Amino acid sequence: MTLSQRDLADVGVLIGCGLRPKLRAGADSDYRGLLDRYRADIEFRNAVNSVLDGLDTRVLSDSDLGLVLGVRRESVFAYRISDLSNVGGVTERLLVGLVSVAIAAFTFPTPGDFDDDRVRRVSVYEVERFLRATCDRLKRSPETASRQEEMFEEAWRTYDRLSPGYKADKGEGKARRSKASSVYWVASVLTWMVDQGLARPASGLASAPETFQLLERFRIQARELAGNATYDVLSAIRRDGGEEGIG
Amino acid sequence: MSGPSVGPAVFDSSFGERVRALLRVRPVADAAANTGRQSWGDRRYDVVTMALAGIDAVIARQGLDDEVGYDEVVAGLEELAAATHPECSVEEHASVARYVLDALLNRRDREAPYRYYVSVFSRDETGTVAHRELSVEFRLLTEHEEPARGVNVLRATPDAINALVGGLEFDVEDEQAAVELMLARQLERGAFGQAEKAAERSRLLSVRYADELRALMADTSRDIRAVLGQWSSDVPQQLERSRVHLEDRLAAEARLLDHVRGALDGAESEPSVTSAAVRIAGLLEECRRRHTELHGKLVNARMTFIDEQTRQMFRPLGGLRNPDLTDDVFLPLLRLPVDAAVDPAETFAVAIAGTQVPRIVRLADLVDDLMAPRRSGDIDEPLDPDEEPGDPEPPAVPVAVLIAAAAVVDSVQLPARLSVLLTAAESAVLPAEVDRKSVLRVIALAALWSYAPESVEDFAAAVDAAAQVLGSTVAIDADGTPLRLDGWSGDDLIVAEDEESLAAWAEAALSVSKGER
Repeated sequence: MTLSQRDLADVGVLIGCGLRPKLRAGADSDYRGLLDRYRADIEFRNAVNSVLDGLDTRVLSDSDLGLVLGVRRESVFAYRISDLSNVGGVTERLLVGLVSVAIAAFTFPTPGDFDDDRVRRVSVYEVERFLRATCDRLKRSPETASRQEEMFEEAWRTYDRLSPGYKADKGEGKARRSKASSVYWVASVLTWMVDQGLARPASGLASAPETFQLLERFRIQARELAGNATYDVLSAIRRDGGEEGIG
Repeated sequence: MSGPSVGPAVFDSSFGERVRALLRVRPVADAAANTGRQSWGDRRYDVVTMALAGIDAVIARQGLDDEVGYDEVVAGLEELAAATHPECSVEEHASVARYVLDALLNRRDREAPYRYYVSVFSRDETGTVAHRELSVEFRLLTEHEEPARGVNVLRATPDAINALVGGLEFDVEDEQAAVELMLARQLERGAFGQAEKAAERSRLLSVRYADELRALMADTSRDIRAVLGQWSSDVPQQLERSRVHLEDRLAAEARLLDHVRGALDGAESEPSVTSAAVRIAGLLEECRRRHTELHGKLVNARMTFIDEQTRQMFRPLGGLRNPDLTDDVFLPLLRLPVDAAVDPAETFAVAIAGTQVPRIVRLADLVDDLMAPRRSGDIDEPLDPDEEPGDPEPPAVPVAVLIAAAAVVDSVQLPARLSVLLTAAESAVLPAEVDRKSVLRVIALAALWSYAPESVEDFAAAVDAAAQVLGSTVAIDADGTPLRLDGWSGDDLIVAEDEESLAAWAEAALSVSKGER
C-alpha cells in the first residue's frame, strides 16, 4: 500500500498540529486520530518522519500529549533567541541560555530525575538563588583562584555581575525590573517558556508568587534533545580547546 | 547467645521491613501532631482519618480516564471538615482540607520525598551490638500532568497503597485470590461487615496491580534496553499468568456479585446487612470495571513491546540515556570562557524551546498591532539605562535651511524639472547663516523622498521635511531624462504642485516631442 495524496495531506495536518505546542491531542479529535495513526501505521509514520527530517526536525515523543518536535539549530522552525525582547547582544543570548540550563538543572539535577513524571514547580526566586549559590561556590573554588591570572572571563561571572534586585521588587507591586537584574532574566526566560508551551503559571493558593509549573513538554525537550545536544557541543569545545590549552 | 533485655527479633533481617512499613504512617501522624500552628489548631479535626480519606479518594479513580485533581480532593475533605465543626467558617474548612492534602503531598517541602532515618542493629559472634543508620525515602501522593487534558491529577504511590492495605508485601495475585476466598466465605457466613472490608482490600489490590503494569509499560517505552532482560525472562509468563488470572477474576467477581445480590433479595435481611450488601456490590462493580480496563491494557502489552522495539532501534544512541544536566552541562558551561559559552548556551535554549513557526508580517496585521493598546504583561520592558526620556532628537536639517529651500521652490514656476530648482537655488539670495550646499541637498532629497519614500528609514520625518519644502500635495515623476548638472547624477525629476498639473505637464511634453518629430 502506498500513501495517497490524501494521506500526504494528513501528514501535513499532523505536522501542523505538532508545530502548535499548546494544542493538546486530547482536545482535538482530528489530531488524536492522526496521532493514533502515526503510532500504528508504519508507512504513515515514516512519511511524517521523512518530511520532518527534511525540515531538520524530528519527533521526540508521540504520547497522548501530542507530537513533540525537536529541532536542529539550522531548522526553519528553530527558535531565534534574538527574537526575544531585549535580547540583542551576545551577553543577553548567553544569559538566556544560562538561565534555561539552570532551570533544567535545578529541576532535573540527576539523570534519574527525568524518569519521574511528577509535577515540578519552580519560582523565579528559587532559580535565582540556585544560580547565585552556584556562582558563589565557583567563586570560592580553588580552581577559580588559580585561574585569576588568565585572560578570559568565565561564563558564570556574566550572571554573577547582575544585581539580584530583590529590594526593588518589594512592595510596589509591579515595580519595573532593570535589565541589569538577574530576576529580570529568570522571569523573562520563564515567561518565554510559558509562550512556548513548556511551562504555565502555577495556580493554587499554596503557590509562592511567580511560580511556574514546568510541563511534560519541558521534561521531554530537556531529556530527549536539549541535554544531550548541549553536551555534544560542550564535548566538541573541550576536544578542540584541549589542543589550544583551554578547558 | 545470652538473653539480653531486648528480644532477638530486632536483629532479624525481616525486622527492618516492619519498621519501614510503620514509617509510612509517619507523615500522617506528624501532620496530625503539628496542627498547633494552624489557626484552627485548638479545635479538634481528625487529620488522620481525613488523610486516609484523601488517599482513598485518589485511589478510587487512579488509572482511570478521570483521575482526581487537587481541588476535587480538597472539596471532598472540606465536606468532612464541615461535618466535624459545622459552626466554623467555610474558609476554615477549606484551610483544614488543604492542610491535610498538602501534608500528603509534602508541599511544605516542595513535594520532596519524606525522609526518615532508621537504625539497623546487628549482633556479631561475640555478642556486641552494632548500629547502622539508613535513610528511608518515600512519597504518599504525587502530582502528575495528565497528558491528554493537560490538567494536574493526583496519584497514590505504591507506598501509600500498601500502607493503606496494611503494609503487606505479598504477591498481588495470591493475595487477591485469598481476599476472594475470604469474601466468599464471609458472605456465606453472613458476616457482611467483614466481607465489606475484604471487598475494599480487593479493590485496593486491583489498583496496585494496575500500577505495576503501568510502570512496566512506561519503562518499556522509555528505554527498552533497561527492561529487555525482564521481557525475555519473566515478563511473558507474567503477562500470560496475569491474563488468565484476570479472566478468572472477572468470572469470580461476577459470581460474587450474584451472591451479594442474592443476599439483597432475601426478604428477611436486616437493614444493616442490606446496606452493607449494597456497598459491597458497588465495590465489586468497580473492581470489575478496573479489571476490564486492565485486561485491555494487558492485551496490548505485547504489541507495545514490539512497537517500542521497532521504534527505539532507530533512535540515535545519544537519546537513549538521560542526560546528566548538573555535571555534564550546567557546571561545564558555567566554567567556559564567555566567548565560548554563548554557542552551547544558545544550543540548549534553542533545543528546549521546541518549534517556532516563521511568520511573515502582513501589512494589515502590522497596522492592527501598531494600533493595539500596549499589552501589560507581568514582566515590564525595562528602561534602557542609556536612554533617558526627555529631549526629542535634534532635527537633522536646521529649520532655517528648510525655510530657505521652500522659498527657492516658491520662486520657481511649477511644474519644473529638478535641474531648474537646483539652478535657482545656486543663484538665490540666501540668509547669511544658511549653507547653500545644504539647501541644494535638501531640495534634491525632498524630491527624491517624495518620489520614492519607501527607500527612507525614518519615513515620517522624511515625508514631513519634503512636504515643508515642496508642499504637501507635491507630485513627482521621472521620464528618464538624466540630470545634467555638475556634482549631481540620476534622473532629472519632474516636480509638480499636484497630480493634476503633473498629468498636464506629461501631456504637454508628449505633444512637444510629437511636434519635434
